[in-house]
Amino acid sequence: MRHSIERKILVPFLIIVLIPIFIIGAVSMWSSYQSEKQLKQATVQEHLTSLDRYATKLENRVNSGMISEEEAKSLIKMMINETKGLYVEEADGTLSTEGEVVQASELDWYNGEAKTSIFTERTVLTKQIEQWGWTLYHPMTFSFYSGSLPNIQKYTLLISIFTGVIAVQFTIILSYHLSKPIKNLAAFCKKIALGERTNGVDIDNRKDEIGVLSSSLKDMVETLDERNAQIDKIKKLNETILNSVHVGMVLVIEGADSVYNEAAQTMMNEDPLLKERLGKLTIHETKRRSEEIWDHKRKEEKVFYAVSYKVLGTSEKQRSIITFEDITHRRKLEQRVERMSRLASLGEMASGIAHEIRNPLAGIKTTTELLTRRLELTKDQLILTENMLLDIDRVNKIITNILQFSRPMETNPSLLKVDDTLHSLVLLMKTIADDKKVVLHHIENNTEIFVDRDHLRQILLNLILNGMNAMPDGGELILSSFQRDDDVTILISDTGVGMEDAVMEKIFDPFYTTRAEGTGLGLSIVHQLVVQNNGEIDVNSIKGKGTEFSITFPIGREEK
Amino acid sequence: MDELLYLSVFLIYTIAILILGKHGFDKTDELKGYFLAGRNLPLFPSVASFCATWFSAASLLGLPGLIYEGGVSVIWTTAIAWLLGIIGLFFLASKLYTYNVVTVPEFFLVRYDSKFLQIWVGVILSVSYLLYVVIQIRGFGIVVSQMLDIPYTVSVFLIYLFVLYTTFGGLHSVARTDIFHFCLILFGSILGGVFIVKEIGGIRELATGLSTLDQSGSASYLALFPEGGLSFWALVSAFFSLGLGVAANPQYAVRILSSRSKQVALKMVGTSTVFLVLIYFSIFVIGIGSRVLDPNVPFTSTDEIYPFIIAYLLETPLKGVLLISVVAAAISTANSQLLIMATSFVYDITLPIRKKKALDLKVISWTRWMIFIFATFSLVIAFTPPQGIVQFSGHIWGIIAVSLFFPLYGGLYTNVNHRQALLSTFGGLITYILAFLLIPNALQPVYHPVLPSLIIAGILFFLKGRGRLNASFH
Repeated sequence: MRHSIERKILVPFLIIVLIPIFIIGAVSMWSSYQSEKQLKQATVQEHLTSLDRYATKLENRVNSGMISEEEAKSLIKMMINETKGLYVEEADGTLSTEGEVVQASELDWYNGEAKTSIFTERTVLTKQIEQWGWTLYHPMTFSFYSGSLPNIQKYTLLISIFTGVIAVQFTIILSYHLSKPIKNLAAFCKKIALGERTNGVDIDNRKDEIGVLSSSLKDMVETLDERNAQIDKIKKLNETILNSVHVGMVLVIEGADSVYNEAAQTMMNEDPLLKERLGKLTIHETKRRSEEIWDHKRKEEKVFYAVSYKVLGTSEKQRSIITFEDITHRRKLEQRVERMSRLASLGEMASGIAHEIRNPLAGIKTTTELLTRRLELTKDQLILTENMLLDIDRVNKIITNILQFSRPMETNPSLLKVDDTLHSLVLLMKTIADDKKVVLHHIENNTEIFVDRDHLRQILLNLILNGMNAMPDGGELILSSFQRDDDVTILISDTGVGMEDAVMEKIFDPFYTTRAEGTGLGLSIVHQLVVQNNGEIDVNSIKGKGTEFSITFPIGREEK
Repeated sequence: MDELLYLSVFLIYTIAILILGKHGFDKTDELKGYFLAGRNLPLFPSVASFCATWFSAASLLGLPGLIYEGGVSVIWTTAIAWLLGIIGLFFLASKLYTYNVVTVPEFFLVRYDSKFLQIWVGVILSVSYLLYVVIQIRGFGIVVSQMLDIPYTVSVFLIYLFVLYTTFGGLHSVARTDIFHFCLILFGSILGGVFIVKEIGGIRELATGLSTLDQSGSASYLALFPEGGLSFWALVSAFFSLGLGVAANPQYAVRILSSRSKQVALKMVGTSTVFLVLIYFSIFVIGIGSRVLDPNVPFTSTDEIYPFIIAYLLETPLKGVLLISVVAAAISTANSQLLIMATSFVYDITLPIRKKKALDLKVISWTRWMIFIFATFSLVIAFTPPQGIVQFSGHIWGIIAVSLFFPLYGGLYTNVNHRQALLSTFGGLITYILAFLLIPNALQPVYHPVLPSLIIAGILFFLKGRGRLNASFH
């Protein structure tokens, strides 16, 4: 990491530590350089001064006549020649050093060409011996790396390096030590941020602020983990509940996709129309409604849904929940119960009326027959009385039918093969069917049911006749059966005119008929017989395409 | 002038070490990372680390001196004996790598299921490496005090700082600095040979000088075998103590374990052999060249000869590199030994005795403290060091050979149980001590204490019950 905390500690500390060491080392070098330079200069200056003093003394002797000037000059010359690096320029311009004459042009310092650079410093000390017109020159060079300076300063340098090494090492170790727990903490936080599991990750057990931070963070993460686990648990439970109920639920969210539970998805997959209707629902619409019942056709069968709406007003985004339940089955049961009670009360009323009519009708009939025998009637009158008797018989027959319909019939159930009954009925009806150009199909399925034989024949006969009547221009009538679990269903379907929903609701009502010659009791009696044999009857019809009756009976004796 | 040059070279070296050593600090969160560099070292770092660890102050400082003094035949009891140990390392690499262990003593725990054996090996390593680190510190002290003309005590304290620093970062730091050290050792020794030959005036002059030496009395100098033939027992002694000492030495086993794969480990041993021969040849040239250059070097210990030649007889600005290569050899060996010493003490002695599991970070922290304590202890001993570097190291190699060779190699290649391994290591060591005390000092170079003790260790390892050989090789 480029901007790691370690670097941020390390670099400034290194600078803080190293700069004083360098400064101290450099200052120490500089000061000893200066002192050495001054010392050397002072020594040379002292030497030159002493030569001058000596020349003055010799001059005095020359003046007192003790020695000649030549002797004095040669004595001084000797001393000058013994000093290394000392030049003398005599009055005539001759330049010599250590006894040898040198050309002035060869000496860069003499010509003023000697320059001082960063590492070397040059200077020329001069002294005039005025009495003879001589000039003494002592060029000097000082540098950091020559002469005795390195020797003198070796320990200073070494100590600088030495302390520098120690300081740098300590700084590195210190910055490492300081930043390591922070780095560990950062790595720990990064793991948390990435959602990795932090269980078993060790962070330092320190006692300082970082330690407090670490342990607090660890505690925090543990608490969070625990809560998360609890939330997860609750979430899972809720999901399980939501997905286990048979009620479909849809959460409509403003500006986002709706959320469906499993039951809703299943129902929507089975019923595309439902899916379409649900998909059209908006928040705005759900606000206006509370409860309603949807009904539409699903695969030619009418289905019912109880739908309720609830707006959730807690969050900023508007949401509403829609629950819906398939109530088709319940609805059918309700219809069946309703029909049965209606038929029962109708039957009661009809039988009461029939009973009351039957006795006077018997009197009328007997009286009419008596009068016919006693009175001598003309041929026309005789025909009229015969007609009267015929109508009385007809009324009597209706009454018998009504009484038969309303009276609980005794059933004598036995196990019988559906195919046998269907087969015999097909044979029986063949002639009539041929007349009406109806083709009878019997699909054998080898099923058995436990019902009253006569009742079953009557039921099927009524339904077959009903089907044939529904096909004035001929068609097909298919008889079949199938077994599901402990029930056997017999299907009688025709390719006739079909019915509208409104008609279908009434077909089992007594005296309801669409044919002029019908009594309207046939299907009512069928319904009665089916119910008395523990069966169920259902009808599906499409106008113009045909009708299908299904009657379901239990298979076993124990079902009774 | 020279001192300023040395100071500059030394300063550059210091900066390099500080930077390179820092690297390991960031990679030391877990034990495998700290002790074995995560068992993930590629070939070149492995080779560099292996070679840098191999060449100690004893090789780079003592060996030229011994050749100078004793002639060509010295190589039999030094370089060749050491190199023979490599054969053992080939066998070690092919088997040891498969063990998932953090330290070498832990191998004994895993293989023999004996905590006691682990602790015992830990003790042997801690003690013997302590002595060996002292030798390294001393080698450094001699060179640096010669180089910078400073007191020995001060220069010894400098190595202390370097070793401590490079070891703190674990094997990552050690391996990283070892790459630098290896380059210094390689170039230093080759340049040393080249400069000495150049100083003499070329190879022809060297040959002439050698023939002159031969005629001037020291007749045996150039002979491959010493006068009167090389004693068989001296050869066997050197091989047993140095060769087997190398083969059983955990500092090489650690390099095998830290390699990226078994193939890398085997390649490492093979490649390193080439470099080792090259460097030994250079040292050999340095030794005989020095003798030709000046047969009368004043010395009290052979260790001082090479530094003297560099300091006073060579005229090149690169001689700072030659001296720093000796420093590199000393530090690279010392830091890896210090690391093994501290890990052995913490991981193989303290933790098994403590019996409580500790966090990785805690163990690393303890190891750092032990590094500090052992380094300080070595420093204190190095102030008054034992005399004669190679002879002294011979005993350390010998002790390691007798106590570890059979349990280590036998553990890898036979089905011997922990009782025999324990008997072998104890029996070997006791015999060694007895032999050391009983054999007169003058005879020891020929009849080294390692001879009887290794035989005893071997017999105890393979013998069981009433003298039946029980081990079977697998």
